[in-house]
Amino acid sequence: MKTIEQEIPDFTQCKPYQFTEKKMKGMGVIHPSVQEKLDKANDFIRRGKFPKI
Amino acid sequence: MFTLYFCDMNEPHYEFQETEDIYVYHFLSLGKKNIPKQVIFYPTEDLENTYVLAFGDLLPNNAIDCYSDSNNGDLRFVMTTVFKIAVQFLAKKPEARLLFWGSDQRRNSLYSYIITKNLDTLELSYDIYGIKANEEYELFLPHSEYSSFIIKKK
Repeated sequence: MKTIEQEIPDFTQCKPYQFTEKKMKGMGVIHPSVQEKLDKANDFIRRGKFPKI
Repeated sequence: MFTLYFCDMNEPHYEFQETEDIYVYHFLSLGKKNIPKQVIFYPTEDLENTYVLAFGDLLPNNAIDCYSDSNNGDLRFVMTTVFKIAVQFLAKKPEARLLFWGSDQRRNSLYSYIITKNLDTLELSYDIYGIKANEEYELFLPHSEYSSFIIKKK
């Protein structure tokens, strides 16, 4: 397994892929892994933990 | 050199469409296999201008799997693209605050390392915070352990 240092992006060597943006129709299908992220973030916010920044 | 690749929005790209609530970007990872990737900025429910950055392989049902570990041999390209997308998003929504974290500790360490490596450049335009395991926050400190990160334009 590579170390973090070996895998770290070297931005001087990179050219990003092209990317596009598209409009979502509603929330669409949400994978459980994404739902878990959203639940965690919303819970964090509701508990007043989000920084006042 | 980093500034050119990280902040130069004149790199070739497809036409963009304005979106309303959720921003979705996708690109193709061209490593060992061709894997479509997607980055979504989900608005949080109770805090305005605060978004969760979700990123992963695009599945046939148009969902993304944040836990996927495709090991496609092009991590640096993928991460550069994701960061570039985040920069683009913050340019379009300068009031936005992005909350993000890795799906495991190893990825979180990777994010922390990337931020640390590029902190001098990032700090010119962005405020970056680290959320610690005890849910306290602080301005990002290099080589620190954080459970999540927040980035916003200055």
